[in-house]
Order: sequence, then structure tokens, then C-alpha cells
Amino acid sequence: MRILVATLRKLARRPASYVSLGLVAALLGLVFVSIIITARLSTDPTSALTTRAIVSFPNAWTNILQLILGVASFLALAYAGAVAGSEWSWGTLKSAIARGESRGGYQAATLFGVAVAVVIGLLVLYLAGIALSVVGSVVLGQPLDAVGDPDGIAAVPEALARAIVALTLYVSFGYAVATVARSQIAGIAVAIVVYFVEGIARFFLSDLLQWSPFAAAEALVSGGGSVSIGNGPGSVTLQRLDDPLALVVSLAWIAIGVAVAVAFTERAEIGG
Amino acid sequence: MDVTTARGVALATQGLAKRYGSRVALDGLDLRVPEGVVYGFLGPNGAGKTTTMRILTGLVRPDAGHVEVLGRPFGRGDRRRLFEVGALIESPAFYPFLSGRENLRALAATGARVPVARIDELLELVNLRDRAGDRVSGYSLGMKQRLGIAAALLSDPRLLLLDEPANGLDPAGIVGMRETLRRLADMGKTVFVSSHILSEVQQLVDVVGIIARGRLVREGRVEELLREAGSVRVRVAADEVARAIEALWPVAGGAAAAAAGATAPVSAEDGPEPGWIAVRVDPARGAEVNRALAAAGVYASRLETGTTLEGLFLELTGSHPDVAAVGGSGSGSAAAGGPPAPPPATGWRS
Repeated sequence: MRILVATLRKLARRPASYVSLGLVAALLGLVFVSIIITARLSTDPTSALTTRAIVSFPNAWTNILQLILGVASFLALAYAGAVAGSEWSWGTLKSAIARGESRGGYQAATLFGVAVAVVIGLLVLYLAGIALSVVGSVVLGQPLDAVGDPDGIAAVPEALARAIVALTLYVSFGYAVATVARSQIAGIAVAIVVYFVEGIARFFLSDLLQWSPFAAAEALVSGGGSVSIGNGPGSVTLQRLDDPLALVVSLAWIAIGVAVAVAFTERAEIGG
Repeated sequence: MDVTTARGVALATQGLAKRYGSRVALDGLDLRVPEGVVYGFLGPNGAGKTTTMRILTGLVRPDAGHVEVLGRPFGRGDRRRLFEVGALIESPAFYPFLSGRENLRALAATGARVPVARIDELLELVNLRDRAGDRVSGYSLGMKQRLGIAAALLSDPRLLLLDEPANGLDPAGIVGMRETLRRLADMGKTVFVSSHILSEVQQLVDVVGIIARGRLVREGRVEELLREAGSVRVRVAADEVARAIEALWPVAGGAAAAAAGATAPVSAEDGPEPGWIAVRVDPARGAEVNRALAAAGVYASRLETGTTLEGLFLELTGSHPDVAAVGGSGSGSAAAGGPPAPPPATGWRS
């Protein structure tokens, strides 16, 4: 508990925390602007309606989370990698261990602290996203009567819980990779490469890679089911895990990430 | 000499061995550090000092051997023993975006519990109270080092392990550190300190352990070791050092030493004051040394008998003064029929 609190205190003072949050907020703002512009300029009524629906209530209550995860998952991965890698690069992990702290306990508590910080960021962004949706609805002339729709609001806790599990998976993965790499830069680089390689490889190995960490997280947030990309003979169908399998696989990947970080640190020879 | 006489043992290693691939870092290291002393742990670069420190703090596991910390075996699973140990290993490690105080608070969340008031006490002790709220990224090397010493003292340890604690400290900081460490030893705590500043070590430590190539080559009380390994030191004008070494070479049996492959018995010292030459002969032969100099037309401005820790260190570790150009080239071995090639003035290699 002491390490968890200390980790949260450290992260609250870490410039990267605010840079990451600001970056996601800026990207989210750009997404909203592009949605509003697309909806206003679209000449196809069906397309305009679909676009407007993204920021219109009651769907906006849950759509916001998907928009946030679209941009935040990647940064959560890099942020966790940066935190884990810096513990090695700066020698602060070495100092904690030399004070008699448990290696595994320190890593698990720090990883948990990063996950909590990321979830706090998610909640802040969610509130900002709701505010942006209200603004978007007003700009697009959508009625705001449905803001208080009970079904829309009732769906929020489950959607938030799914988003939290998904983000924790990204955190756990980034943290584990940077721990094995023992370096901030190497950890972030490897995590990012894996993220993109997996994303591209899913077009070719969809059946197999639906079990991969990022695909499982995506399936968890979107509710599962296959998705088609493109039209006609060139279209690709991406397989996605259904509920509750997506949740089980996501939790398993989180556990694997934590286990890798802990086991690697337990066995590591720690030098300068 | 039994350095543990009349005292308990704070730290002991037996047959400690560690390899990194094909490189042997420690090769059966045996140490005995008595309680309540300042112990100087000396050795050339790569001798295994930092590896030893890492093993003693559980960062690295030895391939073989035993470690005892504060009277009990220390191995895998004994991490709580470190609650009574404070350590500063290699360079001080901090979060650059946190202040000095916040860093100590973050560190205090690990290991043994630390009263909150202790942090300010330590900041005061290392003279960082005024800058405690500033980010560590803006600290000088000396300030980081002082913060590192404060971090090592966080849990009021019985045993303190300090790797090069004087690094980056200014003269006032060094004096302050020396007084603090002496005070801790007077309070019954054990201070285990490695350093390259041998003059500093000589003033600070009670007992010294010198290692070379991963093995202990000498351990004992400083004054006794120095008495055993006496020498004569003379100071001449800086531009006469080479001539003086040449004149003193036969007095110290330089040719024989060179033939035997021993450490050069006459060498210029690498200290802040130029012109000092160490002659490794019985301190009782001071007058003879002075006479040899005078016969060569070189006059000593000072003459001291005894030895320094530096001289002892060079002799025991087999470190050789670098071959610099002082009155010609050569490694100190006398060529048949020619004058002895004097050893050099500055710089060390190990």
C-alpha cells in the first residue's frame, strides 16, 4: 500500500503524466472537430446521420469511451513502458531493493499504481468527452433531451469497467516489455513495434491473432463479434472474441504481464 | 592481524565468487568487517569492489561463497536484513522530476518504515534543507551525492555501505561527510566505504581491506599496515623529479626490483603537490636517501619517513605508475650497461 501511494504521488509529479493526458485530450478534441465538420459538410444524409449519432445522446454516453480508447490505448502502453523502464534506467529500482524491499512486490505495486493513474486519466478524459459531446450536439443542432436517458446512463458502468480492463491490459503489456528490456526507450520502442505489427498482422492471421492482447482488449471494449473492413471482393473480415471470452482472455493477458514483470525482476541481476 | 579482536563482526564474506561470462569479478573474497569501525574497501578499477557491494545489498547473487550481515547469514530470501543496512551504490539514483525531499519520501515508502521527521533531519544533516524543495534534475553532482548519503541513512542503519561517497563533493562537503561518518562510527555503527581518494580514506578509516583481481590482498588497521610498509618520501623541484629518481634508483635497489618484476621502488607521486617522490626503503634510511640526492646535485625541500596508503595500495595491488615522459621513456627496468630508466611522474593505470 505504501508503494502504491508513493507511486501515485510520483506519477502526479511526473511531467510525462500530463504530457500524455494532454496529448490524448488534444487528439480527442481533433476527433470531435473532424466529426462535427464531417457531419456538417456531408452531402450524403445517411452518412451525416451516422456521424451525428457518434456525438449524440444517449449513444454518446458509451461512444465516448471507444473514441478515448482509440487514442489512449497506445499512449497508455508507452506511458507504462516509460515508467517501468525509468525504474531501471534511473536506478531507483536498485535503491528500493537495496533497502530490502521485495522485488516482486515493488514491481506489482508500481504496475498497479500506473494502472490506477491511467484509469484516473480515463475518467478525466471521459468527463471532458461528455462535455465535448454536449458541445457537438449543440453545434450540430441535435436535441439534448436524451442526455438523461436512463438506458444510456445505465450502460455507462459496464462500458467503463470494460474500458478499465482494456487499459489495464495495455499498461500491463507496456510495463512487462519495458521491464524485460530494462530500458525506458527500448521498452517503449518494443511495445510500439509490437502494437503496430500485431495490428497489421491481424489482417492476415485474424483467426489466430484474435487471441492476442490488443485484439482481446479491442473485442472487450467493442462487445465482440467479427468486423468487416472494406467492400466487395477485397474486403477483410477480422475475427474478434465474443463475450465473455474477451474478458477472460484480457484478464489472462493482464496476469501474464504482471507475472512477467515480477518474475523477470525477481531473477534479474541488477547492476548500474 | 585479526581485525575482529574484541569486537563483533558486522559484515563477513567467505570464498565469495562471481563471474560475468568469462570475466572473473570475485575470486574467493574473504572479508571481516568489525562492528563500529569505518572500513575502507580499496582496490583498482575492476578489482570487484562494486560487485561486492551489489552482492552485499542483494542486487546480484554470488556464484559461490557465504555472506554474513550483522552476525547472521545473508542470502536469497533474507531481504529484511537490509532494513538495518543503508547503501549508496555507484551513482546516487533519484527521480529527476521530484524534489530532494520528495525523493527521500518516495524511498522511505520502501524497506524499513521511516518516521516522517527523519527526512528533514537528514536534509539538515547533509546541508540540503534550503534546496530540499528543488527538483533533483537541477542539483549538482555534489548535491546529489549528499542526498544519496541522506538516503542511505534513512532507516538509521547499523551498517552503512558507501561506494565512492566523496565523488563530486567539494572540500567542505568532504570534511562534512568525514565528520558525519566518524560520528556514526563513534555511535557504534559500522561504515563500509570504498573510495579512490586514498588520502581521504587514510584520514577517515580505521581498518582497510585492499582487493585486487577479486581477492583480498591485505586487511588490517591502517596505522599498522603503514608501519609495516614504510618508505621515505622526498620533495624536490618539479623539474628535477626525473634526475632525483635516477639518483635514488640504486639506493632503493631499482635494478634488482626490476629484474624480479616487482613494483618500481622509486616513483613520483600523483598528488596535488608536484615534486613528491616515494622511495620504498626502510624509513631508517632517510639520511642515506638525502645524501644520494645531494650527491646528484638535487636538494630536497622536504623529507618524510613512513608511507602513505597510496604507496601501500600500489604495492599490494600491483598497480603500476603510467609510463609518462619524465626524463626519457622506459618502464623502470634497467638496461644492461645503461642508466636505469626512471619511472614516471603522473597518472595510473590498473
